[in-house]
Amino acid sequence: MELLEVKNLSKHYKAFDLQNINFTLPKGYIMGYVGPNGSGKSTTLNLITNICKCTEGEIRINGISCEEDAVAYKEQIGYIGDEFYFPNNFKVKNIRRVLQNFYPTFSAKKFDGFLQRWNLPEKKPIKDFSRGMKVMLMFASVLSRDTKLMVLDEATNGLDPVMRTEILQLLQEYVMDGERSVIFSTHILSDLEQIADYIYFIHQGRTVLYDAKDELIESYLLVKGEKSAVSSELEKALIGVIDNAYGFEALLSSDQAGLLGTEFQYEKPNIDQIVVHFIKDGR
Amino acid sequence: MKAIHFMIIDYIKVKQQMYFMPMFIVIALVLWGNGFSILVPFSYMMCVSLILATAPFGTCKKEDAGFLVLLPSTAAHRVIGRFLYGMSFVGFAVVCSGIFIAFYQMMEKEIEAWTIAVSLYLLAFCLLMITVEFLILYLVGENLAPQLLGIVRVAPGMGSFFAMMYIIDDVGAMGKVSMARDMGGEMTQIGAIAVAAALAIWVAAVVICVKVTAKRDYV
Repeated sequence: MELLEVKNLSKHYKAFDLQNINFTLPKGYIMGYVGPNGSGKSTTLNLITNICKCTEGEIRINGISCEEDAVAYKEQIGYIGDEFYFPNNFKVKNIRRVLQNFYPTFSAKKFDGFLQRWNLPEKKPIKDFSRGMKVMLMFASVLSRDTKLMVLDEATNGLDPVMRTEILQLLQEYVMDGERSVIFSTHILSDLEQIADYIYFIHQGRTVLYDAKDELIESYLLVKGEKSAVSSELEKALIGVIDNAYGFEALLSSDQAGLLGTEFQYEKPNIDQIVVHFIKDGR
Repeated sequence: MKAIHFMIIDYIKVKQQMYFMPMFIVIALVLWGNGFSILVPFSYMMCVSLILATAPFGTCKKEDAGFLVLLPSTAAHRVIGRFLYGMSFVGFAVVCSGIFIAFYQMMEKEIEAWTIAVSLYLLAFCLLMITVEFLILYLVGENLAPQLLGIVRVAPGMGSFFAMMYIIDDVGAMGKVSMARDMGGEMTQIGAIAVAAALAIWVAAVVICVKVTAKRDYV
């Protein structure tokens, strides 16, 4: 069963267009939403959370659109942004009170448990929290209620490796019951390598790749060799050729592996390499 | 109920400004104690309420949208909450003035009908000002430069106070107030109609602001 359905999603700005984004995310899975800066990642996530309104298209969470029932739609979302979103003069007790007022499933006991677990001081003004503490406070506010879709917009940026690992574990625990899903935008592609089931790659507001992560890795080969050995047919098939001191490096669709001779080396690429070569190809 | 919860959020956001409330009441009492008309502290409290009612607009940050816009609610809840927050200050000014009048009467001084009528006009004017301010702030406020936002927030309240002082001192001296005195109860009825009309305009402004906000992008 699909938890998140995004159909023909478009958003027009003066200087940027997000065009015709389509994907579904089944229950119990994690999607990595990747792309370079300014590619439309945050725009898409802002449309999913309804912080921005789409020009065209439709978004449904568990079959509910925001237009049909804004309250039920938003109750299902747990959002963690790259910027700290609690008002600066709030204290932890204010956040607890607001969450209690708005979310019927909010558990103050769970919330306090997370505060203790992550050593988040109750009395310190939240504006004085470190970046790590702010991110964990956002996680505490989301995990202490019953959400179905966690939306993370570069939430792990600027965190140390220990904290990032803990967050990745949290996300895996979150989807473990098979009823909840995560959509996760990040520049740290090694994080996606560890936990993502699906990869959606966007560039300049358009879809470049969308597939299950394992399928994607199987679909391409990372080719290295001397440029002089490349035939014209192979040259057309190579994706994102990058010249280096030893010759070149590029991606090649696995079903075109027959074009490679013995003079080339090839291996399975990782997500990072796929993204880098597609971005290079796009420019 | 969600609108009330948004009103509470606004109170939390500007709670530092609330600490000044007792000071404003003392100033109003000092003004009254210095021999001014009962209308002067009322005007002063209205001026204060006009300024404080718009305070949450000055605290809006784009990043907050990730929290506030995502709270399970509609644009109507958020807008009504903000308008109720504004209205609560007008209510506070009215209650304070009511207490002043009660004290005034306890001192065995009679309140003339024209004073009540002028108070109603003042209340209607204050409601109208707050409605116009909220409309401006909802329609263009988030794009206003901080300095301009400050002017939009403070000027109507200050202007109203000084206008009222002028009316009480200068126009009163020219005998226009005595004309109002002669009209007595009729003036009060017109004042009540003015307050009702201002409330109707306030409701219409809420509807407009909800429509505008429902289409708005927050980042």
